[in-house]
Amino acid sequence: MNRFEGEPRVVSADVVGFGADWAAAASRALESGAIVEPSPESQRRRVRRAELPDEVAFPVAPMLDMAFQLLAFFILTFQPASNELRIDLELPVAAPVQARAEGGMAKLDTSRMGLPDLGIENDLRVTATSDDEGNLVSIKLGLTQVPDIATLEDRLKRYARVLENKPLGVTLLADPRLLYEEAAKIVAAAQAAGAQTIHLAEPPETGRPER
Amino acid sequence: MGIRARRRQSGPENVSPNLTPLLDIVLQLITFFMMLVHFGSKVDESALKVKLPVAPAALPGADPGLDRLTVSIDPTGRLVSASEEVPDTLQAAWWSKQAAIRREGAELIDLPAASLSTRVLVRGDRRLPYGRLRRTLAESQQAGFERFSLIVSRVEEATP
Repeated sequence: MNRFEGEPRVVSADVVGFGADWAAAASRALESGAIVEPSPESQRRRVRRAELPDEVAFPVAPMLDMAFQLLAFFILTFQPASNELRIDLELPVAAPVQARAEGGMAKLDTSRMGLPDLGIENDLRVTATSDDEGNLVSIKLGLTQVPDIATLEDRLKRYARVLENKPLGVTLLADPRLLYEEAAKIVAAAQAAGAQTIHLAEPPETGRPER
Repeated sequence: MGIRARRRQSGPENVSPNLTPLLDIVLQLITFFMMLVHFGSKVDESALKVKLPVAPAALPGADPGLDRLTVSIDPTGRLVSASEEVPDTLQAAWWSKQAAIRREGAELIDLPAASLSTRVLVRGDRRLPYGRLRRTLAESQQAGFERFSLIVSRVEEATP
């Protein structure tokens, strides 16, 4: 009588687990009816399988070490947000002298830029005068007196809207004694209004002409 | 068999803390700092401490890039750059020297040296007269610099 008839599950497990050699031997034994004993090799494999852990743990500690090093690097190179702002000026040496055109109001030649000519000036002159202490006394946009810098910014914004796609240029003609703080506010207002070119100049009678 | 052996038998073989939540938090922190990092964009602070003018209407501006030259000007017009103090009379020569250095560097990497791409960051004191600032800009223009940025403050700085 075949010994494996009553234990089909054991036989099939052994066949699967111990490879093709054992499967062939088992099938031969089944055919011949001989008793098949597990070899010492197969017993060793069975013991080894029993020793395997149920869960394979991923080693997280080295990854955590690396992550801490990266974190330390980014913390050390971290720079908090600065309160400093920038007013960018492009001042080429050979800038065309627009502000000294006839009547103090110049027009850029927009025909070469492919822009429509609206017939209005797009380079405005802002004149700032100061007292002996350098405090701001008066501001003029073109020939019109402006009460303060906020109003100047508002008017420049409205002018920029009227110009539509034409570039707005602003030339600041300021008293050389004027404090830089006031001048910076005027230049910042022009920048906020959308002026694409800002020139710094001094009135011809007080300083050198603008280049 | 002693007590120690029995205790070892009753407890688990290996006690290891669960590091996965800690790793999650650390990776989130790394992501946060990585998104906020900006290398080399901080304006160099010169040795000269100046009180910047307050002009909140100014725009933050894009990254000035690495090709830049930061100068500070005190109320008397004294110019300081990278801890180097430049006397009033030598400022034109100093600008020429800076332009020559940059032109030489541009030639080494085969860039056209006709116009300097260096951006000059001007940190002028708020009490500086406008005429003095303009003179400094004119001197640097004559040396070949064309791109300038006036550094201003968004808010009133706290006095120490």
